[in-house]
Amino acid sequence: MIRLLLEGIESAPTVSSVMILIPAAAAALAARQESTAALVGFAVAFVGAAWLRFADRSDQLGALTTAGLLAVGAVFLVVPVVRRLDAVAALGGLLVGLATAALWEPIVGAEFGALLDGLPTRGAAGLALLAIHVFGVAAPIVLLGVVLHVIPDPILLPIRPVMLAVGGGTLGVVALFTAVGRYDRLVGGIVEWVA
Amino acid sequence: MIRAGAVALLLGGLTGIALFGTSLGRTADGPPVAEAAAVAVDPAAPGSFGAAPELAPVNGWLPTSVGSFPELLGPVTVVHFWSHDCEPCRASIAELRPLVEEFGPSGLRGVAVHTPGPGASSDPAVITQAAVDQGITWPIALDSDHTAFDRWQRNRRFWPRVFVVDGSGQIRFDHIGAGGGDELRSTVVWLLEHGA
Repeated sequence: MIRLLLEGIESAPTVSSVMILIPAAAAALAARQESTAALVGFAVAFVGAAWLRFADRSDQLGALTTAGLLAVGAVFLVVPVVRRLDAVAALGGLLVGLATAALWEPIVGAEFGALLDGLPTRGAAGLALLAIHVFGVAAPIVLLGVVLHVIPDPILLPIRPVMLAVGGGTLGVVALFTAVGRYDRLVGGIVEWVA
Repeated sequence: MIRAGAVALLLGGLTGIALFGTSLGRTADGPPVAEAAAVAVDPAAPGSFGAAPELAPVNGWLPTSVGSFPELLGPVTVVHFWSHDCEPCRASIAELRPLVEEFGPSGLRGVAVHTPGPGASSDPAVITQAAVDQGITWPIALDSDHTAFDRWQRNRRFWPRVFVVDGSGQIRFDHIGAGGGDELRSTVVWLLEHGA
């Protein structure tokens, strides 16, 4: 289990991992003071959708998405949305996580490979192990989430418009490049430039 | 209070997915587990994961003199998907290479399928250099538009992934990621000794 987590951390700087970390970071920034709720929403949707796909249960994703939208719609109708900033952030993170899971085509090491080989027959245990690996992959985002959570509001307040612009703008760029099938090239270029 | 409620809603959703998952049990890309086991009468015999898909159309072959996938098939053929810049692929190929060298004379063939990973190049010159560096001496199918990748791996698409195809065109081994060398070796040995 520890090795699965460590392999996830080790793979965090690779292009296939950075492709999923960028939307997660952007969602956290765009949510401003509700970044924790956005990241929780992202994590649940991402792990759930990736598990359904990798366990060859993609056919159930449509039914679960419909059920989720109905539930979220019901909650928002009962309570005015404008007073539920955390719920809106969680929903935003959830949608970004759901979309990002579809972009994930991982480069797989030995530990993760052993998990993926048995994922279709492992049920909930496989889901938990996948979550552990994803926690490792997303270690930089977990760190970002903790930093945003502990910084006092008076310090964050002046930079919230910047967070909104950077986070929202990044999500827009990701959406645009995904639409034209060039998102992996964009991330590959960024990783190469940074390295 | 509201924040706790939102988190509880999300965690409840994840629990629901988990409970949903426990109610089901089936294999990924092949037949149900019981069916796969039934095929293997000899307990040591490798399972069967269905017929190997076509490896066509592809964007070319290295060397370019290779005509088509069927003419490369031997009594036992290892088909592996890789990307030139993928570290786990390197480890996987390091396990494959001695096998092909050892069992090549007995009928083991190797077929590499280069599908560029995220941000990777599909330039044949880059792929050729990577093949030389990594010691790939067997033919390489260029799958730049991911057609073979999608056909062979369907909803579960990963780098690297290794398949073993027997003489009758059935997939008898399927491994995701690096590692799995011992199981691969025992599969190859069994198939070379017993045939399909």
